[in-house]
Amino acid sequence: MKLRHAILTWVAVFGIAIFLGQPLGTWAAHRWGCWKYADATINWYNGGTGDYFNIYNEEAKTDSNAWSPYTDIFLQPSSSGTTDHANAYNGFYGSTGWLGLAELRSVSGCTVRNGRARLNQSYLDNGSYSRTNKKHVACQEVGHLFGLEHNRGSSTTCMNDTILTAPQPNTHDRDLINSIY
Amino acid sequence: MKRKNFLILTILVALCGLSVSAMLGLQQHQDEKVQVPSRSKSAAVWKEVYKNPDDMVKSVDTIVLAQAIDRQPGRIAYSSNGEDALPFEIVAFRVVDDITGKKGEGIIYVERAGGTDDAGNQVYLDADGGDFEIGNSYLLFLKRQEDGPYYYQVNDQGRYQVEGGRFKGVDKDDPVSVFLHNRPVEEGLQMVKEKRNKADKN
Repeated sequence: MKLRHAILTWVAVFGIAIFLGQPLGTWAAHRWGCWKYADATINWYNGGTGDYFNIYNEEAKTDSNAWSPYTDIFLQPSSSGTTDHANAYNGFYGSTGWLGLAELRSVSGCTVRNGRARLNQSYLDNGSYSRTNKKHVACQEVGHLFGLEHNRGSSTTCMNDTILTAPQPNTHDRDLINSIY
Repeated sequence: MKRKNFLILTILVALCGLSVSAMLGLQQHQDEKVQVPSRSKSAAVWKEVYKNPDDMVKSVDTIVLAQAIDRQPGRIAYSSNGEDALPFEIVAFRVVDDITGKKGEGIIYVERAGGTDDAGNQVYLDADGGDFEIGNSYLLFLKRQEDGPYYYQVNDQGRYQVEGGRFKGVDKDDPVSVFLHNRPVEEGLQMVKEKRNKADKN
């Protein structure tokens, strides 16, 4: 093959590769900042009340694709705390505009020491939201604590904040979590 | 050039291209979003997430261009098990331009989560764009509380700070925020007014 033809081919291949490579770059774009817990074993405090206790438990530990068994993260049941802790709560927070809130309260550099997930019963208990919707919100808030960002590109993940019908992480979330920890 | 060598080099070129592209895409994203935090971070599942600006303009109770003039501590909400305290603050705004055309609201009050909890801890929440800076002006899309006397910002799509004569959205990649982000103030206001007028007629 003539060198000129080879170079033209390589230029074309390089251009196509650049185009096709963009999705790879955005694959990691659903990571939330640089934040993560110090390691994959995280103290887990379920401060939920009523069925919210069950919902948090299912999303964190007991569903087949809950965060703890589905990813490399291991949630160690614990009392509430502020060191390497993920704490989960529900409450009547009022007309705030949000159904759920994830807060990384104590960070050192990129290391999270204290994360809190909150579910707003003022909305979630008003009869407009199914149990699946509540599980979706709980799943997402807990996912944020572990370092995941919203993902509006998939309808199969609870990290999508435009739907409330996918109460579980998907394989992309699992792979991303496992690459972080 | 032998066919085998050509194929090997072609594969190498393709891998280089993929790697460069992926790295550039990730770097661009990280430049925009990954910052080492000096305080805490927050994210929310909003009750309303709009797909386009028309829906947001139509849905909210009030749209104002307003200047933040005061912040005061508000209520503290506790989790149902009583262990977790979430403080709120009340931010007062002087209305500069009321797009919704309501009169008699020279000062409006917006409640948002954040402030100092009962243990004296400073709670910084930025899911809505973070603390309002006193003296700065904002275009705000607000709803009235069903259970309180204040307004609340409808979500992170509902705040645009005025900087250098232009609006700055909270998430500039959001499909609704893109509509106003970086747009000159007068032009942005005019567009919002037109959309609101259209919504009122319908």
